[in-house]
Amino acid sequence: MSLWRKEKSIIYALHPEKIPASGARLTYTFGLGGIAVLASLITLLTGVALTFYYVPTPSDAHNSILLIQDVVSFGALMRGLHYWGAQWMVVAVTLHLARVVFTGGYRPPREFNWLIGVALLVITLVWDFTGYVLRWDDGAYWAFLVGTNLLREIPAFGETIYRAIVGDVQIGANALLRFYGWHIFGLTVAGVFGVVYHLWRLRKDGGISRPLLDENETREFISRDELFFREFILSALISAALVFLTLIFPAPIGVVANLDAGVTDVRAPWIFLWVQNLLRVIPPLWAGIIAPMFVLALIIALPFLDRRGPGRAIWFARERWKPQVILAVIALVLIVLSVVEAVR
Amino acid sequence: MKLTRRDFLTNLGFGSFLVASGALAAMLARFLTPNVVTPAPGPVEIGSPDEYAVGSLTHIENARAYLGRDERGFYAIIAICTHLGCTPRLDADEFVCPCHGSRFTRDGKVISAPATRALDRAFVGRNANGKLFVDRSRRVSGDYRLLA
Repeated sequence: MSLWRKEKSIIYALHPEKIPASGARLTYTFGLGGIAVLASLITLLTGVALTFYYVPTPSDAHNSILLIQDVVSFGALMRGLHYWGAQWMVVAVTLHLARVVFTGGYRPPREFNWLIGVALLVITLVWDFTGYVLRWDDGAYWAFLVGTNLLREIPAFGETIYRAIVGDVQIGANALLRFYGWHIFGLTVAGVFGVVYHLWRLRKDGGISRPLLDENETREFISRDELFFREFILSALISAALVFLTLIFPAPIGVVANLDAGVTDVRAPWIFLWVQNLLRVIPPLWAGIIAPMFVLALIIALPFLDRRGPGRAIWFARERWKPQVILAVIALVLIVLSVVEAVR
Repeated sequence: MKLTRRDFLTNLGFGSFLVASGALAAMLARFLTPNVVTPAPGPVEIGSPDEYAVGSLTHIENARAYLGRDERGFYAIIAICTHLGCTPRLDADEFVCPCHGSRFTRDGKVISAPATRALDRAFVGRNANGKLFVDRSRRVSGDYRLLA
């Protein structure tokens, strides 16, 4: 009897028997989807560990993080991996989205999976923000205050939505507990379900997108074993890089939040710097609600702006210029706004 | 078109499902809305009137407010930015918001956007023991003064 049988392992079940060699080329996908999954797994596991010490109350939250950082054995490493894993998740998910646009990976029949993917991007960002506020340090507190007050700018339903999300008329113990609940449980359920759905749907849509074949060209494949081997090597390298990153740049934590004291300067978390910049110049409803919704709607619509022609699974194919140009413009605008805000 | 018994029962089934889903959604929305919220901040006692000179503007600890005194009397400026609620700091005779850079005069009037509304004023009163208090839950107009 042998306990280990390769063909019965879960890894076997999760991988297709073979995939086209073109789809497995590193310069096609850069492994970004896989990196996002790996980063989310690392973040998930270290997150479970952090719940053993983190206390989600305004009086203890910040102190419990200091305890994790300074007293708990390997606490700083655990929290660092959680922090950097989360940052990598955001970066990998975003770049993965860009890769899919610039290679036309969204083309039929994969439009539905595009929508799941965009939902996963939104989940990732909310996950990031809810985690950020748990720090309950100066920066997190003001971001929490501004982010939740933006909800009040929504016409007619603003106050109702605010109360349903914050659980109070101001941010405090209720709000922190709710965001904690969403962060460690609600979003985890949604995220895990979304990732599984995304991967399952990828298989159902015929696996990784591939270019159309020319006549008398034959398609080359790599085996499941080869695919898994490549994934393993990439995962090992990424994990090692994350550990090094954590050792060199510890996860940041500021001084404890103090509502009473007027602070000098406040910076939004880097993913929302562009919103902070817009908030300086245009009314809150437009800068904080409508602009992000507009960007999201544009991203959702990208595959549906391009219904013709081949050019699938080819980088920067000319016939699919429309979504590529729109995404490039969005990216450029958001990056410029963010950089201007960061160096202000 | 004649409605068969089968269609009727199917519609009834789906209809009930929709109604139940709607009720569930309403229940969840109601569940998320708190029935108990943090009460508005009450009055904060701050000291005798003569501790504050004419022309002064003093930060009041734990009240998110500043007490001012001019020739006409006492007033309190609430240190909550009217843009998105951050706490502005008093910086060389101007209130400056750290979040989005709104600036206000010493009196709380807007100098520069994004804020469009002057800082709110809170009620200032005098207790039976002669001490002043500031009550942030009572907003008053910019003209309000507690006579010295």
